[in-house]
Amino acid sequence: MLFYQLKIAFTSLRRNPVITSLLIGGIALGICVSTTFIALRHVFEKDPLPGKSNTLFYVRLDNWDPQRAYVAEDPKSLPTMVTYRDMRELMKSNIPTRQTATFRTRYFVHPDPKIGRPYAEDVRVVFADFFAMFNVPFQYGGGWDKTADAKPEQVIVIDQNTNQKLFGGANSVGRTVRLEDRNYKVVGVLAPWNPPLRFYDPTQGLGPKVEPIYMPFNFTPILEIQTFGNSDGWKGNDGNGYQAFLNSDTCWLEYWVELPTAEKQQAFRQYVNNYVIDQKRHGRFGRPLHTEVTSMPDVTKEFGIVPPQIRSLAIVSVLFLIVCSLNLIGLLLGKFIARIPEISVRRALGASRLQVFWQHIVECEVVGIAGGLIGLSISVGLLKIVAKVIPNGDVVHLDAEMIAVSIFLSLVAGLLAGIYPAWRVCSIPPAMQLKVQ
Amino acid sequence: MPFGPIIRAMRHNRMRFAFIILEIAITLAIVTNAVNMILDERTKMLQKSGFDDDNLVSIAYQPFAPEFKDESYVEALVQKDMRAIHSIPGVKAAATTYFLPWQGGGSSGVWKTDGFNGKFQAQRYSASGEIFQTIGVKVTQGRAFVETDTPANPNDTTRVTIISRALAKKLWGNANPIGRVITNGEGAAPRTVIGIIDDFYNPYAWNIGEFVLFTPGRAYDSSGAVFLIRTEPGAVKSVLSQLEPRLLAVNPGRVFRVQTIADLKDRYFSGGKLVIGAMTAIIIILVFITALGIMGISSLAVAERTKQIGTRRALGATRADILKHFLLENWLVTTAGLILGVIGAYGLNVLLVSKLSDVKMQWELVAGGMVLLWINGLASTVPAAMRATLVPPSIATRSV
Amino acid sequence: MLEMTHIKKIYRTISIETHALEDLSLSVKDGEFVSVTGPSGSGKTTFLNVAGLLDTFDSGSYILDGKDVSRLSDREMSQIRNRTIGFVFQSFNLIPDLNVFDNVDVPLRYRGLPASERKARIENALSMVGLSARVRHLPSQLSGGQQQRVAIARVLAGDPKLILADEPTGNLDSAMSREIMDLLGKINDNGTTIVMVTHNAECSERAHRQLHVFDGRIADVDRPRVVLGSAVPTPGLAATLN
Repeated sequence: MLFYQLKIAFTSLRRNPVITSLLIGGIALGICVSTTFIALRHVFEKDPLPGKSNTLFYVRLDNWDPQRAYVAEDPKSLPTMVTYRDMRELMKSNIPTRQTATFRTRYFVHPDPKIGRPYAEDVRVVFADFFAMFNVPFQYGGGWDKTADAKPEQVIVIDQNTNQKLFGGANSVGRTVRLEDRNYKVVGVLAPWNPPLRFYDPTQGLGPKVEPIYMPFNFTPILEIQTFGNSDGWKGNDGNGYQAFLNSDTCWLEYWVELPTAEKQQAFRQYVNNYVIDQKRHGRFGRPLHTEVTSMPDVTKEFGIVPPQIRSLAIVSVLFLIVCSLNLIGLLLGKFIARIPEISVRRALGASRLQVFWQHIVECEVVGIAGGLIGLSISVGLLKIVAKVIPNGDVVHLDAEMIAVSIFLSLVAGLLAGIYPAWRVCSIPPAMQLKVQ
Repeated sequence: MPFGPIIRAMRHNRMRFAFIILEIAITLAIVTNAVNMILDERTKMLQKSGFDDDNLVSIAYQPFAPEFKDESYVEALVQKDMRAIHSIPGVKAAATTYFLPWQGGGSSGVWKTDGFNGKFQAQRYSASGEIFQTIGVKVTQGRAFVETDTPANPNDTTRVTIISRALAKKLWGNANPIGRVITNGEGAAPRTVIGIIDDFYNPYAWNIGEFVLFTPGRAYDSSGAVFLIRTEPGAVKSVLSQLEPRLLAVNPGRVFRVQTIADLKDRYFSGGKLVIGAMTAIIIILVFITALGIMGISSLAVAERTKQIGTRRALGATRADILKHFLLENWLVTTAGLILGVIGAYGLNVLLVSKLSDVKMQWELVAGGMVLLWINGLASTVPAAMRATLVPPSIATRSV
Repeated sequence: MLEMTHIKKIYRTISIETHALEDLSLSVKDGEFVSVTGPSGSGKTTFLNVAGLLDTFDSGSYILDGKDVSRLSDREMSQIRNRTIGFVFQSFNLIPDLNVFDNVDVPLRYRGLPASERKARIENALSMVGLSARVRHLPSQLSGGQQQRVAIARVLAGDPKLILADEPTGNLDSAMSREIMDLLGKINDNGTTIVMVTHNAECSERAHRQLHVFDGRIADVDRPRVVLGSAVPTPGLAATLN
């Protein structure tokens, strides 16, 4: 039956190529616009670590100026990062199954002079757990272990591009890379890794890419590593020098913990609060007790990493598709009503009301799919243009999920446009039409 | 005009009109919100930094050669670099500063001053003397920095600052700001205001884009330096291409990053440009599509009612009456759609505002959108309505 | 009331010229009830279109109610149709989306009468045709006879001097036909001129005078019965009428 209905649908669509192309064009227009902006939103908003992101938590403490909130106008605001000293204390907890503090710096890489001049590169300073926590993919080797953290050992993880540049893409595990004046042993080379957001660093917003080099956190006090990320302070350091900076109330570290169960989450929140209450006894944390242990999806939302405009565009583009779809109703009504004589013959010959209805729905869905496929291919081009305009745009693409969504949308659009005209046509009794004609 | 019968007649074609009403309503909702977003982005883009954005270039370097550990070497090198920069044809002024216009951030601090209750936050940049000539703003009150303002010894207490007019207004209203003293958040490290610049805007995470303190000082150390350079109009490209080779000739033990402020600005506004481009396209296509939809529905209405039109003509309707009839019918449909659309426009705005940005809908926009769609609706009905006037009255006597 | 002399009407398409009316002359006096018969294609409908100013003609002259209407603008013709003429159509031509009241209202709207007067006329007209109880009904909710009575009420409300009826009983059964003819007769008794085109012999007999159109000319004006003889519907046509 479906095959027969498809055949009738194609015949009917061929009969009036102008109307048919208007119908298909209308759906294509709606689909290409909506697919483009839904895909854009999808790229940036999809869960970077499906199944896992809800177990990763971002920790914040309100250690700000007792007289003034972090954002002066919002008394509920608290610093976006934590201090070095608080991080050190909190990391003593064994409640989290994994945890890491992290920040970004910049170092000079000194390649073999035969290969090229030294160049400055972004380096992320992390604990060993970082790689497992954020599902960092490796091509060769892996992250370092806790003993390397503790010492710290001069080990390093580099990304594929760096490996290509320095070692011609060979398995470089065990070889050394010179950063500034020290040599580090490569323990891991990343597989291609290009998440659209640097999701472990919510303070940086959209744009910067994941860093090409990773080194152990415990070099921080030894090498007096400067952060190249934000650092927020509200009072001066007690004394001069790097140690004074580390002891200060300046917030500059991102601190993530992995808490797989509700019990652990509860326990860790309690632990953080107890820590702050204890610190209050020592004269710190002059503001009301306020700590936040926020899941990754919530923190992404709260920090507004994804520009609101991308979401607005997605919403507007879906409404746009609805308008395109509604717009076709008029055309279809005209087309179907013109076909009433034919329908009444079919009805008189025994086609049931339901069969007539489905006949028209099938026809609309043929239009929907055709328009959808055309729209989808246009949106590939549109996304290329969009990718050029926005920062870090090269991550923008259509994945399988979005292609499925797009085809689903075109089916829905076809249905939305076709259901009322089809109902109108099938509700016309056969006899009346035959008599009048 | 016969509103009553038209409305009563339309009730019998409820569903068909319902779709077009819904379409118009959504169109109004989208168009008004899209224009709102465009205007918002435009306002942000048109915000003047006060600087000669188009003729600014920056070059930053990071050293890897060991000699940079020696501070006196760096001091001498920066002077050499400055001379090299000034020797490039087309360079008007140059300064070392960590401040870059339109980088969408920078550095800031919390301060106190007499006459202002509590603490305040402002951007703060150290810069060498030529900074204001470089960014292209004038010190309109008081004086600019002179060489002796830069303390040779960082612990020197005779410290000064030049602040923006907006900040001075916020702190002391219209009182004379010159000679006022600003301290850090703990009341230490006092600085005397010696000058005011009228124009300053640099977007910042907090709402402090117009508030700035410039302090005289070295914007370089052993880890590198940033030079901001102003060129003669149109000389940006030629200056840009010569910067790196010239400074590399001074000392090759470092890497450079060269960028124009125009590029920075472009990057800062890339999201806004996307919104403006996409929303403009959507509005145009949408209005066009809605016009097509109304044309389709009105031709259908005319085609279906040929006999009725003939009858009306036979009963004495003039061509003008028929034209009026269809225009009026469309006007009613459009108006119904627009009334629903006003609710939709505010509804969508609430949705966008609550979840997303913070641009409130302005009633002028809604009114403008309504007028646009009214005209659009009437214009799109005219072809079908004109066709209707050509239906001859003799249709009435034709059987079936 | 109606004075047509040497009216000629030719329909042209690219290849064919059809002489629909060939030198038609006719005079109808005030208050007369005239029936016009003729076989299919004889030009009855064209005659009605021309008489009702629904269509123009190519030559000849036409004086309606003492006024030369041969060369009028579309607007002036609309006005005369609206004020001077009332139409009763074979297929009633009610507007399906409008209820009975609004249907009767249609010509009055175009005349621009004030609302109170329109209301009074409509109610009066509907009571004359006995449909006062049906004002809110849609045409589709009425029988054929009732629909034609609404159409007649639409004519009455306009109070025209001339009624042009086109097969007014063509879509009705005989009982209903009789009802409609009685109604037209009564209207004529009140002084309104009626020109009725019909196939139906019984209807035709109700007229004061019976005319026959043949090949675009009016024939045998004074011997209606003979004419009727040739105009008796064929069995096939009769079947359609029922």
